[in-house]
Amino acid sequence: MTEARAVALAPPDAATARAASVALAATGPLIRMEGVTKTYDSGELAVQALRGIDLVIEEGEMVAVIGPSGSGKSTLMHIIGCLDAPSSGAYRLEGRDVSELSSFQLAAIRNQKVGFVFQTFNLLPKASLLRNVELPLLYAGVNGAERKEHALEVLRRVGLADRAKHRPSELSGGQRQRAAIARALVNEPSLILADEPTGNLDSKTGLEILEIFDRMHVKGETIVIVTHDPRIAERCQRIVQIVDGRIEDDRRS
Amino acid sequence: MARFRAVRKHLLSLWDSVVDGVVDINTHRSRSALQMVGIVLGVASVVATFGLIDGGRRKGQEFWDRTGGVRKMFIRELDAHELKKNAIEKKSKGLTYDDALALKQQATMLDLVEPTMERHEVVKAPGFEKSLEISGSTPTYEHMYGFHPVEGRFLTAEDLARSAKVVVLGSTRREELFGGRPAVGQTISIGADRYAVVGVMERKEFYWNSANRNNLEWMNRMIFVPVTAMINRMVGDRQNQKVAYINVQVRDVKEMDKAQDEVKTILRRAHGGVEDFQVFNRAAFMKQMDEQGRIYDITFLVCGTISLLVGGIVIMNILLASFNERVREVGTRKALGATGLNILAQFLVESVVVTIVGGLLGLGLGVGFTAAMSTLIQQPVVMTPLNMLIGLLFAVAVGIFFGFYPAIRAARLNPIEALRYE
Repeated sequence: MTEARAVALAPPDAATARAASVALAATGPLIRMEGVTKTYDSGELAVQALRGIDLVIEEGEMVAVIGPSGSGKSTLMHIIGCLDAPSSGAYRLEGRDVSELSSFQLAAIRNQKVGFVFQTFNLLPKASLLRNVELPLLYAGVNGAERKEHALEVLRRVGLADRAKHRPSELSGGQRQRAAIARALVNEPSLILADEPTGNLDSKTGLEILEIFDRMHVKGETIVIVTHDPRIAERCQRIVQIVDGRIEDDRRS
Repeated sequence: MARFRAVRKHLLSLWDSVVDGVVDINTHRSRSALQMVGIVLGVASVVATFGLIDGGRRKGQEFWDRTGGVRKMFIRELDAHELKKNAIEKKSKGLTYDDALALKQQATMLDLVEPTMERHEVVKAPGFEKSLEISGSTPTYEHMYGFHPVEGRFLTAEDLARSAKVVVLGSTRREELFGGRPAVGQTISIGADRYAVVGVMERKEFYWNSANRNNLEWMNRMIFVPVTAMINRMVGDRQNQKVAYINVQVRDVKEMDKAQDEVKTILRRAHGGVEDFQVFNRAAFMKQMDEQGRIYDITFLVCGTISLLVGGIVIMNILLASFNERVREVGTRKALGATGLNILAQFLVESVVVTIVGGLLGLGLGVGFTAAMSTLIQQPVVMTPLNMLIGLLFAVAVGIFFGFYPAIRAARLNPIEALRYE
């Protein structure tokens, strides 16, 4: 799997591919950001969402990114998840400079390295849970039988194996978010990136979801949760607070 | 090796996007059905019109074939009233048996020459008496019209040489004269003489459609005697050998126009330089018909194209209308690792599959419709596989063309904006 992942990530040039696998093997922080800024240029009005972020996240950390709305935490999450590129500064994911990658390579990183969990779950409404969980495998080019087997296995891990054929609309909010987590996990990413994962759930269900994250953390997954809820943040070992596009506080408990 | 595997992986994931597109169609059946309507009707109308046009054309072809083929030219006299106006023209005796002989001797491009005289005589058989039209023909008539005897024989060269008192009956005449009794071997009287029945012709039938009468019934009403017998025994005037018409068959259909000129030259010379006859060239007529047919073809092709375009626009409209509800989906897919190509493939597949399925349904509908029409108007329908393939390919081309814009739009969506879309 590791080899396959490296191949999928590699640019289609053999020499660079070899260099990339060497870089992957090298030890270092999972995420390293230096002076990352992001400016949205909407006509005459230029909005500076990020004004110089230095951030290092090691493998296995569980980090909460908090801040008021408009502070830039969503932008930060998009850049970490390779959905967006920084305007300036350097961002290395597993030692690789993301700014050099093509859109195909960025898609491969989102597919292989990052597992997204959204506030609104973002499951495809007309597809079964199984189909939803299979999607990242599909974009990774895994063949049908293997895909199904693997997706079922991950659904089992979040306790939804018996719901595999159901559509999202037939499930409760908590179940939907568990399915979304299964989908985030299915390609065994280096990083789980959750954006307000409990925002649309009642507190009891939210707690269940957080317990799943806890268990994943214990198993060694790296998890970054973006939230404005201090109670969620308290559960994380590290809290990064963003205000006005800058890191105002970075503390470990 | 790594490169090969990367490419293979990429193709695999593209193929899965194709499958995904198909799954998507299945999960949005009503939307897909709506998209299909335009294409179904478009293809159906194209297939149906072409089937009917081709059927009609084949029917026309069949009519020509049944009455002597396309190499035939029909020569007859111009209206006699016009003729009398000019003194010089009076020197011409009109179209005569001698003209036919002249053509036979002088023309170089003809296979067959067949003059037929026509004349009314009282025909008598036991229990039958009526004035009927008699045709004075030559043995060539059989080959000229592809018209063969079913009983006995047709006129022979010997009959012609001897001015023999023999007669060959069309099937309707045989029925009228003899009913169920045997005809061949009997004699009937035509005018003053008695003629031996030596043959009965096959029955000729041709219907343009069910409401129509038998267009070849006139052949069944023929009564053939040797043209020499008519000249020598019925007319009795060797100076008056006017024929009703002369048919000639040209050896090579490509030489029709040249042959027509030759025939005209020979006849003009025989008629003292006067063109008091008309030549009907079947090939030229067919060409004219074909040109007319081509105009129909183009008209219907344009109509069909327009309806297919409308179908394509329907597809694009529905894709665009459903676009907004799918923006978040595209965003999600991109976050999960879909490339722009994956999204493009998924959207394109949707329109292509919709048009293929719609095209196939349209084919079925069109074939069904033409079959129904054909039983209704009794006209054969021609459905060539090529026609169907062209219709289908056209539909798919329309699908790709009109699916491209929405697909490109989807593929280019910024994932962040797409995810944020409410």
